[in-house]
Amino acid sequence: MIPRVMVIGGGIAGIQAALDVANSGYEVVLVERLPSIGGHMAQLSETFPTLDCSQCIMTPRTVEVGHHEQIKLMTYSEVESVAGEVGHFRVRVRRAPTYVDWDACTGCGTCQQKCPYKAESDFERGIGPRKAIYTLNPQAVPNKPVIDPDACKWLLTRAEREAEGKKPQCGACQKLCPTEAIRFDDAPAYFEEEVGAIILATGYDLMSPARLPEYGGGMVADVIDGLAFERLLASSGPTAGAVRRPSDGATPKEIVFVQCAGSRDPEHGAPYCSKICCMYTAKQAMLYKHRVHDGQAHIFYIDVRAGGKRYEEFITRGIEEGTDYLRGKVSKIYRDGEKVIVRGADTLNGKPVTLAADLVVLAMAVLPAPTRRRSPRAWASRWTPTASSSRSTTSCSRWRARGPACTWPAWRPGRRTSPKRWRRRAARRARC
Amino acid sequence: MLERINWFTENPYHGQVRVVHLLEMLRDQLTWEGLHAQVKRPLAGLKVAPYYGCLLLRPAQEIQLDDPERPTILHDCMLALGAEVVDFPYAVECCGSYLAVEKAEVPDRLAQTIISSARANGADCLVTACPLCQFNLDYPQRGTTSPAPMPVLYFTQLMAVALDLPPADWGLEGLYVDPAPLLERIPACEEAGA
Ligand SMILES: Cc1cc2nc3c(=O)[nH]c(=O)nc-3n(C[C@H](O)[C@H](O)[C@H](O)COP(=O)(O)OP(=O)(O)OC[C@H]3O[C@@H](n4cnc5c(N)ncnc54)[C@H](O)[C@@H]3O)c2cc1C
Ligand code: SF4
Ligand code: SF4
Repeated sequence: MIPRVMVIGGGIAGIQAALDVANSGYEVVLVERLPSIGGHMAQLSETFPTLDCSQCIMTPRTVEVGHHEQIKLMTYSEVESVAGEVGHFRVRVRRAPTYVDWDACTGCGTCQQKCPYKAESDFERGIGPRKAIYTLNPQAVPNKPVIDPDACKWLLTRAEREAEGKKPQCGACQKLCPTEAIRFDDAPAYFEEEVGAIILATGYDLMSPARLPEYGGGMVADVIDGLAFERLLASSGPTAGAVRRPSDGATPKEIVFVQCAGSRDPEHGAPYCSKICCMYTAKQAMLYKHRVHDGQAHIFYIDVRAGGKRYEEFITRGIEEGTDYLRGKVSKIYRDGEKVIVRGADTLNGKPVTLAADLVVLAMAVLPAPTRRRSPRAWASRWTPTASSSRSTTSCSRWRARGPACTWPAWRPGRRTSPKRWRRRAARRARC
Repeated sequence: MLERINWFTENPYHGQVRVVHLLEMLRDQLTWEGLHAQVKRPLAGLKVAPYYGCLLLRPAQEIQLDDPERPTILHDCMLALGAEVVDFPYAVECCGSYLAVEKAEVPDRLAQTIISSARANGADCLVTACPLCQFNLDYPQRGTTSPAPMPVLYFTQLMAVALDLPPADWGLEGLYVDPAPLLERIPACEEAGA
């Protein structure tokens, strides 16, 4: 038994888990895919139900993780494979090339200031750019930059220019870095970690609005998703907290929020309720109203699911502050000149409604965080099918398609269960 | 269901026929490049708004001819004919279908929104891939003068023009809004012009 724990995913859940475990005296390895920890909470402006600033709640925790003696922080890293068993896992972690020597880098930020090339930022949800060498935000932990090989002029032109016997273009960061920390020949690094237990906290991602073309997703610039609107509200965001719409930078006077966009929709999207969008939409409408006093927010909803401490009160407060709730589904969103037209049904009075909005925010469905293609199989490498979990007895479609050559795990690894156990459990439940 | 139909028609059918739409054939067999190569009189300067309606797109799972919300097949066809394509938000709206028989005011109202939206987006004419859409959009405009009615054509009619078939074969007589003034604007064939 190895008294060491690995936490995969450095969002707020992973951070808290790592701190709790570490403060109980165990060593923790925290593996995060992005260059710094914080996850989605780092993107939020203020949080429901208290409207506390998200950074203020989180920064003490991220800083503590950064300094904690018991926590080994591995960012820009992903788990390649897991072998062994409970009590003694051997985990192979791959660290992507950062092209910056983090030991030498002091986090001064000169390179980011001087880099002349920009790329679209996932962190800003496409409404603001970042440099080719970047940290996710100014409070990043660790506050060390990485270079995006798909945006950096030096890395992009290297092969071609070196074939011509010339030096690659740019290289500004290398010239200007006071500690000479830039390493263009960085390569992926692999580490073996031995741990006794693993905590998965890989979080979520939002469904892409492009999955809903009838809502103008991916076609109309002023139709954005919830996280993008968080970035518009956040004082650390691309507009420094001013609500401006992406198309022309105007302040929207009328916003339509569409709840359950992609959720509770087995046809197009996810069949389940995403559970957070009712609350954050109410919050966003409220925060918008605090920023733009003469603005009006309309929310289309199916029903409001506000299950939680002080949640219902929060929704009521939103309504009292002037948010207009419309019960019904939106059928179509399109651009008409300056405006974005939202057509839907008001199912309380049974009439169609058409609203001319300046900005539309879709509360897109929450999906489990994507894993890298080979991750599921990597996860499964320790899982050798035994007689009780033999796949030939299952209805696994992959197995049916590929036959014995199939290497896909029949059961979600880590969950030691099998049809036999399911049946047993069902029988037990039936008995009660 | 199939049994009942077969009993009724006394002509057993087992669903082995693969049904393709002409547009599908053009796209997959002839290809748009192939069609473009055949064009003798490109529809230069003609601003066409492709209107898909339901026929080509719904039910999406069964038809699977094109993206049900963001279709391109008529766009591609019109581009191959040399026309200019205009996008408008009502391209995948329903035209009212057979309500034209029972409750004519419904398609009338729908046609009005569809046509005014196409007009606002700068279209000269609408092109459809369904004869009923064509009728439902065209018929309500009969005899109107203001705003100037917008011709609604079936896509093969524009193909006939672009492929330079004899005007007798264009089949424009059945239309309520006469597209002739519009089609006259298209530069004539090069050989003919020379
Ligand atoms: C628009 C919006 C507004 C919201 N507003 C609020 C609010 O006001 N109040 C509130 O309480 N909640 C709010 N939420 C919900 C809140 O964002 C989430 O509940 C919370 O951030 C979840 O944290 P997490 O750590 O579980 O996941 P995440 O924040 O998603 O973190 C997961 C982390 O794991 C990493 N990761 C994923 N896969 C791997 C892998 N394979 N290997 C290594 N690392 C990996 C990711 O990079 C990420 O950093 C909001 C959500 C949205 C979408
Ligand atoms: S080499 Fe140039 S483009 Fe690349 S990260 Fe450095 S400054 Fe940016
Ligand atoms: S908007 Fe509300 S009801 Fe709809 S999916 Fe989100 S949480 Fe569930």
